[in-house]
Amino acid sequence: MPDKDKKFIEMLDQYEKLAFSICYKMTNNYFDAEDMVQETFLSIYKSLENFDGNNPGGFVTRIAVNKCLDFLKRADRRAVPTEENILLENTSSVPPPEENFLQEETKRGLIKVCQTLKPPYNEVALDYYCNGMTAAQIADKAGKKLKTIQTQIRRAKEMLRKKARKEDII
Amino acid sequence: MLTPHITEIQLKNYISGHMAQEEQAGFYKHISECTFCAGKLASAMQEKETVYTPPGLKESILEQTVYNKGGLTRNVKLLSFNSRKKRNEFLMYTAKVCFAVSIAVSVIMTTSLPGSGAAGYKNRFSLTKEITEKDRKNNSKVLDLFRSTSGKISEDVSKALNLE
Repeated sequence: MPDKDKKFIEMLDQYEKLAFSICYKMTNNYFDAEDMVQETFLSIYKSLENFDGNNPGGFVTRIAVNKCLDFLKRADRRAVPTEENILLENTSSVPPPEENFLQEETKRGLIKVCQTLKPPYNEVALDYYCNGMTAAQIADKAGKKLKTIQTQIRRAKEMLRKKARKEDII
Repeated sequence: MLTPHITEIQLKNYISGHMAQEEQAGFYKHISECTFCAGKLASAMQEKETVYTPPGLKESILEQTVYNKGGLTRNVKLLSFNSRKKRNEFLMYTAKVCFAVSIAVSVIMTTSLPGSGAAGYKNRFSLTKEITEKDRKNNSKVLDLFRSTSGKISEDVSKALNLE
């Protein structure tokens, strides 16, 4: 494996959760946050050669914040023109609950929202988001093609994102 | 213009969820420009990891980055295999065509040699015609035909050469 890949995997292991926390806090939508983390790490992978290795946490955080700011600017469907207002609208004024409670609460919220989907999306979403299964594992279990499951996950995610946005569940 | 660095109080307020909303825009803007402060935020946030991260996220990122190259080489291999197969097919086809053309040319050459009489000429002409037609249909049949008639043709050739 090339050094670049090793370095990248290390970074991903170490900072994935951090990037997710930041993106979730900024977008206030679990599924948008997931996309932002993906964009963040894809961008890191592309620019890894230019990274000097100093302050990797800062490097990841800065990229994640930039990605989210761009996303919030793009999100004109909310019809809020300035960055400041977008942030105002997206940040909840309620202080975050205790650590474990939030983990549990998030997971419970996820299970609830996944269950609202129609079959087969509800099962696929539950396996993917709540049971921690990969697309390949779900495909094995269901005896279906990987491509089919990947498409179902993508569609489920799209539906979940809309639900989360509309109903402000998670 | 650079915005001022993040203060400890701001950081504390942000982490505990008590940062005034109007302050957050400026806070994020600065973090987006300053790796130093982004690093401070990172360490503060890492001490307090709170969110349940989607378990499949890491895998899906790896699929688009590190594994993707594997996927690419797999595709490339598949492609090169396909093109090799195609190239072989093309070479076989070319070889067949060349073979058929060389037979046709050799037959025409022998029949166009002068001075072997009207009957002989007619005979050979019909043979050429037959070969050309078969050639269009199937190259392997041409080969068989050539084998069966080559003796005769070479006899004719030697006759013709002797006459000349």
